[in-house]
Amino acid sequence: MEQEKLHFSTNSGVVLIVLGIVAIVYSTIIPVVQYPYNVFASWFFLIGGIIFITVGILLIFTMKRRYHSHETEGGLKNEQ
Amino acid sequence: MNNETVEKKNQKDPEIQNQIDAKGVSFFSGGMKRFWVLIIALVIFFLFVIFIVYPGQNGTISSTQLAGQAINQTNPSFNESLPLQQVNINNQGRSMFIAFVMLTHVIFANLHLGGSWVAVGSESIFLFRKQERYNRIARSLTLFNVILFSFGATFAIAGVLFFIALYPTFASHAFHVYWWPLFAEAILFATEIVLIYSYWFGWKKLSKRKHQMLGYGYAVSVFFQTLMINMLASGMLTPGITSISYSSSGLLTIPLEEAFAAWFNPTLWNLQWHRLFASLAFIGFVLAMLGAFHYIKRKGSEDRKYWDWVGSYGLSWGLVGLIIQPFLGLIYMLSISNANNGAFQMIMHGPRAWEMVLMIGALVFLFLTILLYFIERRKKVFLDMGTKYLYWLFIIFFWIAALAGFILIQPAWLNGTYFFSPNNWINPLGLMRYKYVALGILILIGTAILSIDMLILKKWKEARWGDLTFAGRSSLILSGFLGIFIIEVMGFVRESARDPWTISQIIPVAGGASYSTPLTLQNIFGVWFLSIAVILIAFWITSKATAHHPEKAEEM
Repeated sequence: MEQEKLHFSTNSGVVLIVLGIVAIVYSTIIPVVQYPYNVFASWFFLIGGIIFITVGILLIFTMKRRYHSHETEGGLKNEQ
Repeated sequence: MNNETVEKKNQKDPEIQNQIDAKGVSFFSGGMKRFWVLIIALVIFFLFVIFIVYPGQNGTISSTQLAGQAINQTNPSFNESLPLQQVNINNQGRSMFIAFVMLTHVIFANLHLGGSWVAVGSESIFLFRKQERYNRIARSLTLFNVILFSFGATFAIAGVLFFIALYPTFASHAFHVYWWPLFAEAILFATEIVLIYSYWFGWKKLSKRKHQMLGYGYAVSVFFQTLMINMLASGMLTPGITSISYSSSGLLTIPLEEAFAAWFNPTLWNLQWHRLFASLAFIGFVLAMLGAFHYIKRKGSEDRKYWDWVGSYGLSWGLVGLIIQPFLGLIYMLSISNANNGAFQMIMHGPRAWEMVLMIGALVFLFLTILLYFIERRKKVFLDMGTKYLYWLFIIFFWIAALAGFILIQPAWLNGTYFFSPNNWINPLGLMRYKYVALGILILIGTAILSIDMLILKKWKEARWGDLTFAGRSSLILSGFLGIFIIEVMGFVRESARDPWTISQIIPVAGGASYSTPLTLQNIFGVWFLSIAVILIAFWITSKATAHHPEKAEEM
């Protein structure tokens, strides 16, 4: 069951990273096509994208570390 | 957890499963209610465009009237010399004939432009994953395209006939200026025919490698064939030249520089990519709709599992195309703005802006329909997973998307012909600065739904095929209808942007100042209705013959 949680969290992290990449790409398109230039929308998606990617990476690494570092201490892996 | 485990879990204790389902029905109720709310909202939106936006932005004023004397000041050699063949239908019969055949043709052409990649891509997935259903859908789709090939080509030939008969001066100049691209298109057309038939008849007879090469060859030939015809299609809106100056008889009738400027005009590649991804999305929605029809018609559990999966698979392709489309659409609009600002102003800030409101509205409702499908289709999967959070997340996505959609369908102004006209009412919610945020939110929600479905629900949803709710089926059918409708609207937007010219600022529409273009709202809605009716009938009849049902595979 715990391994399922690990998969779930890892996949959630990947989803967040994908969202972050899409948001950043969109933020770079807006200044190119927008008339008049829209600073707010561009920054909104740029910062949002960075946050998504950061949270996604943290989620993946935190869960993986939690899973592997307790191998000998009754951690997630041994609970199975 | 793998598929077998989930399936075993469900089969092991049907009583418990029934309890879960019953609990699920009560907990996750309201699917059809949401669907009917969506339908009512769609009807209200249509009424809003027809009765508020169209008259409010003076869509009733023709572009011919706005162009005024400019049409009469064109080079006299571009005026019609032959008596015009009239078609007396609502004063715009000639344009209605062209609109009907070309918009219908584009739908059938998209079957190949997008369908070829989906078919051969599905076969590749089959070869990689060894799951028969991918091979089955690849075969069904290829046979579907083989049969409908001639039907689509008939519309193309009818279009050429109508161009020559109803717009002879335009046809004559277009075939002269674009001779080489059209000649190359004819060769590619023949190549495409050879490859699609070889691909179909070579199934299980050729080696996998050779068969895949034929399939990808077919897809690539369609891509370049479309590129050739897009030279003319994009050149009509952004010609790349300011006049046509013939030199002398020979291999080239206009100077090489001008020929290259016309063929590789500023919006060629943007239109090409825009069309490619539009057709990928379109074919996905068509698959989803036909999957739902077959699901309703077939009663066997294996058939139902398969068609349920086809609906989901098609909708995923549709969503991929829909996520990428706004990026390409924005860049395409930018290139139109740079190359033909008059046309850009006409469709963004002028009396044709109602068409853009209609188009973006169709896009919004398509997004909402997809979201509704995923909420409905996956709700029992969430139960199997033992989580309500994802369900609530999808519900929240739906309402955020509805809010973003509300911003996107706002007209920028009312009570005036142009956005910059004095004494207009400027809609504070209709400004692009909000619409860019709203559009981005729709893209992100689409990406989130798709990636959650592909990554997190990947294994879990396998156990639930064949269990499609009424709201789920309805959403698939609505997505197919909207997918076809949006292509028809987009085609009309591009054509009406350049009116009253057939080749923008160079060749006027035959009939000059006495023939008003573009089509009025009543006339274009009539054309769309007829075109979509023909398409739906053709698709359904053909798919009945081409569908490869798992339980009666020998009928194939």
